[in-house]
Amino acid sequence: MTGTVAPVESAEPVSGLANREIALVDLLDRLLAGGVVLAGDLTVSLAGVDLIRISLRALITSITPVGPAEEEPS
Amino acid sequence: MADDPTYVYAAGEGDPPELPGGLTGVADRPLRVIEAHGMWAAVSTVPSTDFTQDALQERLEDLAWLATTARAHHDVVDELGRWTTPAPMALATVYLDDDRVRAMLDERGTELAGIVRRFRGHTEWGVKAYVAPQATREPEPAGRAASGADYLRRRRAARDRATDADSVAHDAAERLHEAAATHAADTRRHRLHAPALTGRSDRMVLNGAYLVPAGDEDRWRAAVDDGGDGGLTVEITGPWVPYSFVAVPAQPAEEGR
Repeated sequence: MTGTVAPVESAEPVSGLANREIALVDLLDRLLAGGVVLAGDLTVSLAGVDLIRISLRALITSITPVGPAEEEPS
Repeated sequence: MADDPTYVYAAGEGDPPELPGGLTGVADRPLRVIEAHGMWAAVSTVPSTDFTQDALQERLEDLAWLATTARAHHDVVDELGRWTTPAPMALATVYLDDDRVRAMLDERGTELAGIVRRFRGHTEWGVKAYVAPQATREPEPAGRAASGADYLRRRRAARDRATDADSVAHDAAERLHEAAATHAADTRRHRLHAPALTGRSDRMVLNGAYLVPAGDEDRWRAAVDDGGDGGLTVEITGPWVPYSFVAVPAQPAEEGR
């Protein structure tokens, strides 16, 4: 397996997600939301895998948070 | 060893692919093929330390582990896709042992074969489009607001510009999607990525997946190139094994779980 840079340890974890050869976010779009869903013997909830929360936590634990969000009601 | 469960990457119909030796998957475990009931499944025996229900749910929330596992899963599926038409499993599809996988191939064989037939001769391509947040970034008019009313007027104007820019970007994204759909057998829309995920300052307005027949890739790509408006930054990804097209929305599912 290629040496996957652990985004948690990198200086720019989240942009690291997007800049890989195949961006992790694109992969997870497909692997978490796509693919055949079988009731395997271990039933984990992929729906419970909140990518944004995970990556934000990785971001927060590895670098100082980027300044406060602008007043933006996205 | 007997306790180590079996991780399934993908299944297929008929004869299993002749894979090059030495391939590994999740947790660097060797890739194997199980055959049963006219179907095959590509699997690895994975360590029970990571693959108990509790451990797995916890691991999935560890971004580094998730990334490594997702890439290992994908690498196997991608390799299978070079040799045959696989029906890719969702991440972390795990059975207690090989016999349970054989039982699954029996129970779900018809459904899996249907997916394989639908996918045969097709690949998935992704189109992502971004728009620069110019409207919200546009410099304020020079000088300070002369009065409270002036201030409010400026605020309102800024908001209107943002709204206009949003709807222009939305329309452009829809046109791009239509263009990409022209030569596609099927389409899906993935959820848009938040800027926190993309690490980009511009905003995602389209995250589409397109099932493109073999031989039509050039025409498809040309249509996407033509379909992008000036304001959009467009990225194409692929070819993918058609993960996004496993589910058929139109077809009523067999009763769930």
